[in-house]
Amino acid sequence: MEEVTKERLSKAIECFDNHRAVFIQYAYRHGGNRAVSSLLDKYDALRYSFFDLIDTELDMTNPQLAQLMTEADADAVNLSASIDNLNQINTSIALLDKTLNVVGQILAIV
Amino acid sequence: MKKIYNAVCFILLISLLVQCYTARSIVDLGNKTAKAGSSVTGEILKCYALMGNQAFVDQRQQEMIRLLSYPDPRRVMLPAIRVRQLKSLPAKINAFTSLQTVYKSFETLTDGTDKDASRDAMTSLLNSYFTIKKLPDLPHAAQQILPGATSEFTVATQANKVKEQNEVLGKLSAAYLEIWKKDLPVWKEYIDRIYLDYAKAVYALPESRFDPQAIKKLVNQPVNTKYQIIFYKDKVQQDAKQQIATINDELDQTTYAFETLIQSHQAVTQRPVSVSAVSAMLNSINSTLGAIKK
Repeated sequence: MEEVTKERLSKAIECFDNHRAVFIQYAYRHGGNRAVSSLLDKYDALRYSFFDLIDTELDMTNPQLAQLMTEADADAVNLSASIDNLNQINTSIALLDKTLNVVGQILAIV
Repeated sequence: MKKIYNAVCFILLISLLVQCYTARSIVDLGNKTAKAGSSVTGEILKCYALMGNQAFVDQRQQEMIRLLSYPDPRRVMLPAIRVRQLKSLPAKINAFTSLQTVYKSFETLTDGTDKDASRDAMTSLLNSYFTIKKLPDLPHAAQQILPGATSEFTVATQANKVKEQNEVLGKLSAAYLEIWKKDLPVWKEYIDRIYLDYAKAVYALPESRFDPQAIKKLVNQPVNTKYQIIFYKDKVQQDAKQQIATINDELDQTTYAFETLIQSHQAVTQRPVSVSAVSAMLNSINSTLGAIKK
């Protein structure tokens, strides 16, 4: 299961790569350079969290960790779908925050 | 009667010489195997260093992309991104360095030039054994392979005990191989993200970010600027894929050399030893490592 979740997170990063220009334009229109910075910081944080996650031994017998991985898995799928959809960029950014938060919790307990 | 006595003496002498020659050949094989181990662990350490360097490559690439992504680049403060290494690297580098020290000490032990070699071999074995045992994410398979007791080391650190030496080196290296094999998919995923994220980000950049004159020099196609930029972006993607393939090939070749090293240890422990089979394995290791260096 953990391998699938990691793959889905990787896919979410790739989706953002593919639509990066659209997201940046949107952020710039709605909040200028500050919003662009914030968006790119979140993207970087997701990438680095992903690197930490693949480089960490996960004890999937830990029920809390298993639960968080399930959440991360669902969030990664939703994030990819939302980015690919491109209709509601606000929703994508909110999902990016949510995914980051869950992955952060996972890394905090391993 | 005297003739028969002379013939028996001659046969015994020949037999003794053959035994001495075989024993010497096996000791030589032990030395060559230890040398191969030094070379393989040297290549492994190069791969770990290569992975460490990727963090710097990633930082440079992502920083460039970040700068080019801003609609208003005057607001960008550099450096905007800090270098982030894979956290598990230092402990692994430390462990594989200890394994390389083991092989170097066994090289000295088997060439018989240093009277303290036995003590040094024991020290390095113990150090490497405890270093790997202390790794936080030691794979279960590695724990099972590791020699259960360090008592095996005492015999293995005697100069002429080639079979015992290769038994211990084979087991220790097989445990290390499990660590290496566990790291491989992590690294491949890491490398994919580093190079593909960059290439895809370049692909997403607006045309206004490119200098038509510079692009013209890089893309030798008789088409207008708009298409040249597309060709250039495609070239960046192809270069990224090539870079990934080159690194993956180095990792795979190193894996092959490492596995062959362990097979050669096992072959040296067989009785009778097939000198030609072990030599073929050692040659294969050397040619593989030689091809990587090119």
